[in-house]
This record gives sequence, structure tokens and C-alpha cells, in this order.
Amino acid sequence: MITAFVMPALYIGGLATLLAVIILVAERYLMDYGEVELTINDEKKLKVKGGNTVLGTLKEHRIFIPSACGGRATCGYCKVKAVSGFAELLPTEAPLLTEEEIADSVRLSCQIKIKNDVAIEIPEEFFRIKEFHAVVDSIADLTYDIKQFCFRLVEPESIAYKAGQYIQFQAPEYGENTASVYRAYSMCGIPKRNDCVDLMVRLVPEGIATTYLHKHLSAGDEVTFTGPYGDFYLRDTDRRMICVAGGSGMAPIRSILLSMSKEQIAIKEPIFFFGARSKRDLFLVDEWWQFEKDNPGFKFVPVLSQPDPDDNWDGDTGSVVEIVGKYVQELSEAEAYLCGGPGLLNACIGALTKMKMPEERIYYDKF
Amino acid sequence: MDSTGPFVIFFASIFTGNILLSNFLGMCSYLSVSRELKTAWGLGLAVAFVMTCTCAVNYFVYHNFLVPLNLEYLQFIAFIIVIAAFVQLVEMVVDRVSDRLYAALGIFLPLITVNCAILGACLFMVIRKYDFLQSVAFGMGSGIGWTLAIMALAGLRRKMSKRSRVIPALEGPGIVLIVTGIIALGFLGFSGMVGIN
Amino acid sequence: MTSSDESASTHTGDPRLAEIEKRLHRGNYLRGDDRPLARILEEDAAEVTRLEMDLEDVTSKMKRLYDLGRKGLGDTVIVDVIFEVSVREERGILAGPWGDQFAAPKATVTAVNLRNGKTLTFSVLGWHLIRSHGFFQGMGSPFRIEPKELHDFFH
Repeated sequence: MITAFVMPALYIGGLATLLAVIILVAERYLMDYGEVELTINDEKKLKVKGGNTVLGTLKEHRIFIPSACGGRATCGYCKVKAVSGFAELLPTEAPLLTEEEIADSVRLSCQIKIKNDVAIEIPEEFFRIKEFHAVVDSIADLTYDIKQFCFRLVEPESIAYKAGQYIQFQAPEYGENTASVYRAYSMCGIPKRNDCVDLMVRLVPEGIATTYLHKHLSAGDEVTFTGPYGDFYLRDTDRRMICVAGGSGMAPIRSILLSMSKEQIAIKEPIFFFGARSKRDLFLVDEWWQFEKDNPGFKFVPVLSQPDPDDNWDGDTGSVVEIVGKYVQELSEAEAYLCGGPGLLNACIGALTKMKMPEERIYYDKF
Repeated sequence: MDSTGPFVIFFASIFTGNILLSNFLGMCSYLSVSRELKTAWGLGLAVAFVMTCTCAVNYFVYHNFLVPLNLEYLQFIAFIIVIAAFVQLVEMVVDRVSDRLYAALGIFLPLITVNCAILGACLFMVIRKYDFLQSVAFGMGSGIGWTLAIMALAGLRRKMSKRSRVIPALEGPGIVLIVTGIIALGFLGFSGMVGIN
Repeated sequence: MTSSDESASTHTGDPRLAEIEKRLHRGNYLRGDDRPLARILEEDAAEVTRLEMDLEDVTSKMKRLYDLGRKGLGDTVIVDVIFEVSVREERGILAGPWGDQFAAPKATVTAVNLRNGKTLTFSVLGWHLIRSHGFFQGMGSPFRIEPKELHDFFH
């Protein structure tokens, strides 16, 4: 009786155990890539655990590669040069790489896995990107839907960035949102004050991160972000500067202009066109008029597209893109710094190129 | 002992005794993964591969382990354990060897474990008392037959999505099952060509 | 409510849909909707057929509203005589949750059909999900568009 039940159970159990052992051994042998060597830029050598993507592995070693899509081969920001040791191009990478990049061994670091000793090349700026823990120092209303946030750094205590760069802010799980998201915001302060980071954030309806910032943060709360990112910064030339921005796009422009010396401003004669719909969308106007007074050569031009009758607006009216043409005509020797939504950027680039500005001298944040 | 030659069994299991269209095994993954031709092809190949190998392995497990110990009645449990373990191993090997293949197929491998056609093929080979060569031929043929069926359905679904006007109530599983039935009737026409039952 | 790690489609459905469903839950596209993703897609597809709506035609019209409405740079624009459109754009991109490597610009289109008085609001990402995958979003999602709403707007 017992033998009828126990023996077969033992035999099947034995078979199952044997198979489990085979799987464990196979896992140990196949899935454990052990420690491998990752060489960066031909000089930095890291001992890393194999099996993970380049993006993930570097993150574990506190080296941050820019990414906006969480490693899903969608944003294309995480490109690195794969010098040696990697498998061939994956179908997920191809749509995001140009032919030149493919020929140059540029790959998406979120897709390529480290399974043996490998070597990569990344721009030097990436080494300056860190993860920061900070505390909310102050929150100020700039308009009915734009707030300015000041984060005081805790760990690390200071940040090294170029005026015009941005950070990736982490909005944690909150309310009904079960996952944290990262969103990019340009820094609007000056790099010299390197113990804090200022952001201008406009509330987007149903926006996960902006709702968190506007409705769930108060002074003293802890925040996390990575940065600095971006190649939108002042070019050290003598050329005339045209700046165009709308809404929260003022942030990096402010950062750039406030970091310039009086001499630089006198030489480059920046003119800042700020487009808004009506008076209630304007902010920091007084600060800009004062800046104009203190810095000869600088001109501030606010433009309203649909001023309210109550605004009593006597400044420029219309599309900010058209107004640029009213103040400047010949731009073949000038450079432009643009910040705003894709529509504004496209319209500006079109208008500026018509005014003879070469495209390589039109700078804008591509995030 | 069945005396039909392995080649005959191979062809018969694709057409006349198609494991999906004649025996109606392996329907759930067939219904859910038949929307696109490319993935149907990938899954079909994976199923065919696993079916062939597990028929071979389970042949040994049955004749060299279960039979000597008079445990033939435990074939269901033993076979399914072996199938699950085998698929796990395949997944690990694919992940190790080819990122490309793993990205394309990796997500389907756990689905193959629960595909009843695979267990079904192993059980049939026991019932029909096939020898080793016949078992392998049968496993391979059944796998290819399953692939053929899912490819046929995927092609039809693609055409249907562009041209057919399906009544809303039958949209989805309804019309797919009806179409499968019609294909099965079509395959019924092959019977009598070669018999393996 | 299914647990956050398992979706209703895990064991018998298309495993890729299960992966997508997980991502949709995390991104709040299925907020509050208990149904498996496959069922949501089928029910909406049935509704589309019932309404005899040509989805390709309708989504092309939506794209036209976006393309021409953008030119207003946030201000209202008249498109094709009968539509009053304003497009709100933000910087940055949104990675699509479907795993199809689609990166959507952050833009929301608000359109009023002056002929029948109906209003339609959609995001570019929402438009892509409808056009490429027949996904109108879950019942609780603030960006869900009912197929009937879409149909009535253009007729």
C-alpha cells in the first residue's frame, strides 16, 4: 500500500530533482558571465559584472549615460561608441542610428549587453553626470501655471555644469502613479552658485512629473535628479546673439545670459525675444528690464500673441517669430539660441535661415 | 510495434493527422499568436524544435526509466517535467548565444511549455508504440504541421483584416475559431491519403 | 484588480501583449480598468466595426488637425473651414509604451467642429496608439477617447 504511493512519488521526485540540478548547473555555466573588464576611452578600466546592458552596468558604477525612455530603444540619447567585444547590430537599434553612425560603431547602450571583455568610447562630459540628492529650498509662483523651484544640494554638495544645460528630475511613485518617471528640465540659475539648482516648470494637464512638482512638493522635501545633460550652452565667440524663447523655455536662456560678463554682453549684443500669449503669461519682466539697464548691449523684447484688452499692452504684438524680423535683418554673422516647443523651434529656424543665418549657428536644446 | 516507415509518419503527421487541425491540440497559443506572419513563423519554428527534441528525450525517459520501474501510468507527470526543464534550458542557451534570437523569441518560450500539443505528441508516440526513429519523425512532422497551421491562419487573418467585414459579435476569437474549423475541414480532405492511426 | 506584476493576459494570451499590458498599467493608460488588454482591444474593435468607422481615414484626419493646428504655436487656428484647433506643445518626448520604439512629441490637440459643435481632445501619443494598435486607452485613463466620440466628431 505504502509502496504503491511512496515509491512512485520518490521516483518522480528523483526525476524532478535530477532535472532541477541540470538546470541549476546550466544556469551557473550559461547565465553567469562572471566578472569582465570594461574599458572606457582607452584609459579607464572597470571590473564589472557581465550580463547587463552597457547603460545599466555603467549606472551601477555611477556613470550616467543620458536616457529619456528608460532603456526601451526609443529616445536614441544613449548612444556610445562600441569599440570592441560586442555582438552585431540588433534590429531594435537600426531605426535610431544613421548609416554614418553604424559605420562608426555607434550603438545604443541600452540595448547592447556586456558578455565578455569590452571597450567603449563616451564623451568626456558624461563623466560629469551624477545622481544628486537635494532638498527643496523654495518654491515661487512665476505665473498662474509656472513655478520656480530651488533645490539645495545635499549629496554631492556641488554641481558642475554649463549654463543652458538640463537635469533629469525623478518624480517618484505617488498617488495613482505606480512607477517613477524621469523628466528633463533646464536649469535657470547660474553655474557659479554650484550648491543649488533652479528650475522653471510649467504645469501640464495630467502631466505626471509637473503635477508632482506643482501639487505634491513643499519646502524641505527631498528630491533626486541626474545631470547635467545637454549641449545647449554659450559658444565663446564674438558673434551677435539672438535668443528666442517661450514659456518655461526662458530657463536656459536666463542661465546663459546671467552667466555672461558685462564685456561679453557688450561684444555679443544679445537680444532676447520672449513670446507669450497675454500679459498673465509674462514673468520676471522687471528682472529683465533691470538687466537691460545694467548691461548695455542687451535688449529684452517681450511679444504677446493675443493680449487681453485689459492688459493695455503697448509692446510688440503678434508671433514672436515675425517680430524677430522687425528688429534684426541681416544674420549671416550672428548666432541664435532657441528654447521652446517643437512648433516654435521649427518656425524660428525657418525664419532665421530665411534671414541668412547658417543652420549650424542655430543652437537649441534637442531634448 | 507500428510498422509504418518514419518518412510516412513524417508526412502523415503534417497533413492527414495534423496535431492541431485533426487532433485540436495546441489551440491557445495558436489563437493568440496568429495575428502576424512573422511572429507566427518564429513561434512555429520554436514549437517544432521543442516538439522534436522532447519527443526524442521523452522516448528515452519512457522506455529506459518508466517502463523498467512499471511506472508507465506516471507518463503525464514525467513528460511535462521534462518538457518544462527542456524549455528552460533552451531559453538559457538562446539568451547566451544570440541576443537577436532571444529578443525575437525569448518572450514566447514560456508559452511553449504549456502548449498541450507538445505533451500530446509525446503521449501519442507512446500510445502508437513508435520506435525511436518513428518518434522523432512524428515529433518533427507534428511540429511542422503545427507551424503550417499557424502560418495558414496568420496569412488568412492578415487578409481578413483588410478585406473582410466581420460582424462585431464574432470579432476576435469567434471568427478565428470558425475559420480554423473550415481549415480543419479542408485538411480532412487529405485523409485516406496516408493513414497513421 | 490584477496585481501589478501579473496581467490578466499572462498565461494563455499573446505574451507580448502581457508585457505591453504591464507597461500600460505602469504608465496609467489602463487606470482602473480591470479587463485584460486583449479584451479591451477586441471590444473597441467591435465598436469600431459597429460604427462602420474607417480608422485609417479618421486618424489621418486627426493628424491633419495636428499638423495644421501646430502652426498656431499655441493659438487657435481654423483648419479646413470647419475646425477650430489649438495645439499645446511642451518640450521633450514621450516614449510610447507599446514597445514599438515610437517617440511622441508632447502635444495635445483641442479641436472644435464648428459644424456640429462637438469637441475632441487628443494627445499625439494617444493618436499613435489608436492608429497603430487600435488602442483607445482604458476606461479610467484621462486621455481615453470613446470610438463613438471619435466617430461623432467627424460626422
